[in-house]
Amino acid sequence: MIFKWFTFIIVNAALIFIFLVAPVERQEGIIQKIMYFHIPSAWVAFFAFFIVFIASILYLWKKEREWDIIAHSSAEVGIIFCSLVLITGPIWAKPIWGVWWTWDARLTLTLVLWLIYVAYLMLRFHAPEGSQRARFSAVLGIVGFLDVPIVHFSVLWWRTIHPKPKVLSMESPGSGMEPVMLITLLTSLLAFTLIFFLLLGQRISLEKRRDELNELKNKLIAES
Amino acid sequence: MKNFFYLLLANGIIWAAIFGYVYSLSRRGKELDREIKALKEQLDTEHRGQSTEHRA
Amino acid sequence: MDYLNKIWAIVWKDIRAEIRTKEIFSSMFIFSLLVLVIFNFSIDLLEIKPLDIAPGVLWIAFTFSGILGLNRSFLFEKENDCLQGMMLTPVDRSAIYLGKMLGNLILMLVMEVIAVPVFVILFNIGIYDKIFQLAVVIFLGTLGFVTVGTLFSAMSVNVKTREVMLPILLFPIVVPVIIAAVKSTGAILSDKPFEDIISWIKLLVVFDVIFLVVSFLSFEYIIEE
Repeated sequence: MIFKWFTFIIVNAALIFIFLVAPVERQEGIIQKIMYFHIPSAWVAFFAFFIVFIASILYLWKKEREWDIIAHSSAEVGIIFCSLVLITGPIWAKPIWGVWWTWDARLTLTLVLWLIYVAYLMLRFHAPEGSQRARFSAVLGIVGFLDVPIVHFSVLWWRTIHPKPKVLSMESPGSGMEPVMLITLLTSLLAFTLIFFLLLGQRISLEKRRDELNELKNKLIAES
Repeated sequence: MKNFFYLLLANGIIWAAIFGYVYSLSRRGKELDREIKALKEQLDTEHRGQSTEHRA
Repeated sequence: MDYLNKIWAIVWKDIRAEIRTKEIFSSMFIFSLLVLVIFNFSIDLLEIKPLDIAPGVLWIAFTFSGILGLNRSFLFEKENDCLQGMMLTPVDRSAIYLGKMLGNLILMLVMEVIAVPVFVILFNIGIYDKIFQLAVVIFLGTLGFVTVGTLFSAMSVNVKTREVMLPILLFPIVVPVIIAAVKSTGAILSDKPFEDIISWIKLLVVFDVIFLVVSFLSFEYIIEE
């Protein structure tokens, strides 16, 4: 409960910073403020997939259902934030670059990441329930995350060999930023991370209740 | 001013997605809670039924 | 030595079965041919330079027909409970992986060796002085595709929607292989200097090594009962 209130306060502080305190960027104008949502979403998505990776390793090692639940829940919440990155990116790009989508290295990486973890969730949905599903998805959770740096380099070289699209102002967040803007970004990062943990906790508890229900059903079948 | 619309759009989508997800989680959770409760009651009555049968 | 013999036994079993039926090979080859032909219709080679589009088309043909082969790779074992049989024998699980992987690799390479001349004729491209470089790229790209592909096909064969599941799982993971293979094939075909190619070759090697090791280690978790 305290955690929820803390999150609520930080989120409101972040919103106040974003809309009222942070100055309007000179070149891009007010649209630059999308970055305060975009970058934290990207960070949370990446962090969520990292948790999938760690939980997958721990599952294969310990074979405890707990880790499978964490991996599954984190992937689902991660996909939501990854989708938000893919939605807010084009909304920013349209007025700035004049196009919704360019095959810029970062956008491409995010899209591939999204595809990998959508495949992960589809595998979970279609695979036979039980330890087989858990093992399959753990292997994919590990392979998928190890692929991320390789995808990163491949799309980076793929784009730099071609003439580069206009250099992004989001290329290196933090550099050349006014202190107020940096504080706003950090507050927003904290707010999104807290929201992530809140959602993750909710999703985990849902999955546990589902397990409880299945257990009760089996008990009922066994008795009748 | 048009750019401000884009900012509001992005902002709106983000919170709609997060609250939409929270809502769907809590709805699914409530459904599960209800089923769990129903099953538990069913198990209880069966236990009671069995124990009365034993007594008889 | 014993370990190598076991791997070879599995590879040979698959090759023998394939030589007898030619089922997988024929469908893979015809499919890759179809991709090459369909792409000839979807682009006007009189207006677009063949070299701009050819490397991409070639690798689309390879990956799509490769998926066909991988989809069948564990199907036979699954339907006849061969995997259970193999696991009862004192064969290391990783040997099963290497055996199946090599079988798939050989199958795909043979298909590619026949598809490339057809591709050269259809797209009117000269490769005579670049065959060696091209072979290296095709080998490394196919190896990367097959290492993860074999791992995933052992997985997807147990899933309800297996034919669709394999490409959905595999394609996002092999994006770096596709990019590197297409880029380096393009660079070789248009006589670019060697420096342009070497970084892509390195990327392919890194991918192959990482995923060979990871698949080798994690395969036992896939077939464990």
